[in-house]
Amino acid sequence: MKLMDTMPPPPALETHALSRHFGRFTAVKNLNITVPTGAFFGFLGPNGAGKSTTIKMLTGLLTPSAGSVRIFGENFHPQAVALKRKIGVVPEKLHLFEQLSAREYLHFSATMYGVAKADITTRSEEILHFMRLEDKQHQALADYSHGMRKKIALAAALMHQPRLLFLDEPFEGLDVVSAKALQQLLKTLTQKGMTIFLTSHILDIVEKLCDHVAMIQQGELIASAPIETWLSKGSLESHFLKHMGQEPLHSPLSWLTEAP
Amino acid sequence: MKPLKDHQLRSQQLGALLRLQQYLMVRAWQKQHQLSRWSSLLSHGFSTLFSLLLAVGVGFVIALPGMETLQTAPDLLLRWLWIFAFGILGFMWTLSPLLFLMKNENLSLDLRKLLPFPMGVKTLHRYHCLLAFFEPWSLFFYPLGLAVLWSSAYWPEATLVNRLALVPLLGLWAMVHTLGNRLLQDMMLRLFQSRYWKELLSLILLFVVIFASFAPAFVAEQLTQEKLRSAPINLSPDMLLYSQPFWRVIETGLNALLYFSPPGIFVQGLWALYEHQYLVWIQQLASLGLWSFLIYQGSWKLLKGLLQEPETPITGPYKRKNNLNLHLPLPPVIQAVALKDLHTYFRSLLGKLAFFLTPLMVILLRGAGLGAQAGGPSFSYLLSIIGYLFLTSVYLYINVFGPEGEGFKHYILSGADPRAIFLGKNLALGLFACAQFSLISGIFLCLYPQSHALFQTGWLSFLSLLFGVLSLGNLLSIRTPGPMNLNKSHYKQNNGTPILLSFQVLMVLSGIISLPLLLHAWFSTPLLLLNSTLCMLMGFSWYAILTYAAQLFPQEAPFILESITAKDAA
Repeated sequence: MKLMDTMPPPPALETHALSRHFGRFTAVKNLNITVPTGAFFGFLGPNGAGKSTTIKMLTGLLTPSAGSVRIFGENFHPQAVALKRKIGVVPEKLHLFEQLSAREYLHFSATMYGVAKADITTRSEEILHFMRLEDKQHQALADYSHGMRKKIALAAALMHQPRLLFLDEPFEGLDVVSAKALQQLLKTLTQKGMTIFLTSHILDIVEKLCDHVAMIQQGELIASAPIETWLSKGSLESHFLKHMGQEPLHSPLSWLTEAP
Repeated sequence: MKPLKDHQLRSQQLGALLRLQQYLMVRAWQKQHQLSRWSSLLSHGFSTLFSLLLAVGVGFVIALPGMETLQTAPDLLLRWLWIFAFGILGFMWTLSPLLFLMKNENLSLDLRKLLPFPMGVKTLHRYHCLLAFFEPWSLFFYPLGLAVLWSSAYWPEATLVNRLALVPLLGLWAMVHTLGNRLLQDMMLRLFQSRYWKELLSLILLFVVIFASFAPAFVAEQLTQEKLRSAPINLSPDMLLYSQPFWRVIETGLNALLYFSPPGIFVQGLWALYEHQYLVWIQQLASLGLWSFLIYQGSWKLLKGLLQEPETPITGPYKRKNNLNLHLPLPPVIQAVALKDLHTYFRSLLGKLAFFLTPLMVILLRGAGLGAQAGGPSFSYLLSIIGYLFLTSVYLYINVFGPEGEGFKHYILSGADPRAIFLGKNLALGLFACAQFSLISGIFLCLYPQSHALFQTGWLSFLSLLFGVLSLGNLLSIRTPGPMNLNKSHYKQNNGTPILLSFQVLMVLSGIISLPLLLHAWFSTPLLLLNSTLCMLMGFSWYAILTYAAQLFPQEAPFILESITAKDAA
């Protein structure tokens, strides 16, 4: 018993040689990452690097061509229902039921995750209040702005108290107040033991929130280290530009800059 | 909180899914405009009436042999009646999922949206199949089941057991129909992931629909020719129908296919009950059961694959060939707008459909023997083809800004000359229509080599109608703009009024271009002269309307933008 108590918990997420091919095109190649439980993990890369494909494989939305995924020490596959109940996802493309109102969508989502009916009502009220969407809770999602849709997707992903949360560009389109509140909430959630896997192009936020950052380019992992290691040698932005080989040109668009 | 057990979770999820379906159907109804609601009501009313009539009709047809007055009906007639019932069921079985997919997309649950939830694909598939029993194409099937049940009341020497035995047969047939439709629908969704398959399938469907609508003409033509060849033999169309008891005996590959297909098995089961052959009935029940099982398994495998593939295929870097260029001495704005629109039309599903529809019809019309008189096709025949050409692509002309979406902002922000924008758009549509008509002319001359003279004036009539349709389009595009997605098989147009109006105006315009024909007949004025005059007049009026539309554009632009980027856009 004592031995069990002293054993470290299994990592929240572990991938081994994860790959995905689409015909001749390789979107993700031999990806090996480990995310400890309770970590705030940042997953960075330029557009088209394979971040969203990775998240889809990690959440069961896409079958890997090769390799394996383990979540909380168990093998994960698209039909692992029990494991899926421990996961929350805000995907890049928000697949919402447009004709439902925000409140109806939250009810539907929580019911699908098996949340008790009594809890659904209270939780949805609180989360709508937190997201500042109380006034528009009866409006159809089709009439929501992009930022508001993002908030609802996030709220739906949180309703069932997931232990591992995947966020693909959660801050894109959010107003300053909501973004700040969300940052605080995510920080609190990781302090309470939730593991968060985040992709974002806003490197300042990644720097502030994440305790571990990995970078991917053309489907391959190029670096992974705790945030302190990254920051000890400069800003995250400078590392990103250096690793991606996309440092700004010295004299860009001369025809524009030299215009009268 | 104690987590729910698996079976509790499944039943909670089923409840949520059914509620979701109910919400979607209610919202689909609520968000319609008053006009659309009325037209939906009317169309649903007609559908219900039609399916009930079909139920009564098919029931009557099936019951006929059992009626006392027709006890002596010949065996051939009886077999023909079975073929009729079989044909209707088979046709529905084949086409209904595609029709459903094209017309009722918003009522269908998007399974991809359900994937993140904790449901196994097998459970998802069960819900998927269960919900299929409540979807419109299934509801349309049930009256036919009722018809068969009703018809059994007229069977001679039918016992209660005999009639009760119909219920499992019908149940299994309904299951095969529903699951089979679901499977076909999923297969098409899988094919539709690729735009090329989607376009190919739509073209094939189009061909099938046109072919089906011209089938009676083909049959009539064949019969006439047969009659001419064997004049002394009394061969009436009825004889052709009664002398084809082919399908109940396996003779050819096609017959075997019909014999073992679900509708064929169902009709054989029905026949077995009618003749009190219970052993055959059991055999057919088992066959339908096997079909259900195979379809269910196939559909599960397919769905599993479908959901594990990305929504839009990723094929790596893709370079589109740019082989369309305009080398015309025109101002750059006109050229840019025209080139952009031509790319849009030729790279879109609806554009391609519109382009090939009329040429396809010309070939079919020739196949049906129309316009094949000794002196070649008449001028009015060519005029009908021209009218049909614009009728089938009128939605491109009356909503020129619809496909732009947010891109329309460029016209406002760039401060481009509205007249140049309209000229560019009209040039693109004009070139599109001219390319269509050139193709038609080529086909026409191959099919009717004697019709060279027809095209001297035919082209003028075409240009006259083109000017008329462009004028109509310029006005309607400003006054009644709407969202339009040229790459969706289902074209959602919220305002039915402009389409109705354009059809009416098109009829008037078609009347105008046939006016020279009338004047030529009355006053013997040369047709070429009359057509040239009309073409010039139409050209002048087009220019005047274009100038007016360009004047209106600046003040109407915000309204157009708002309309074509409406949130409930397709």
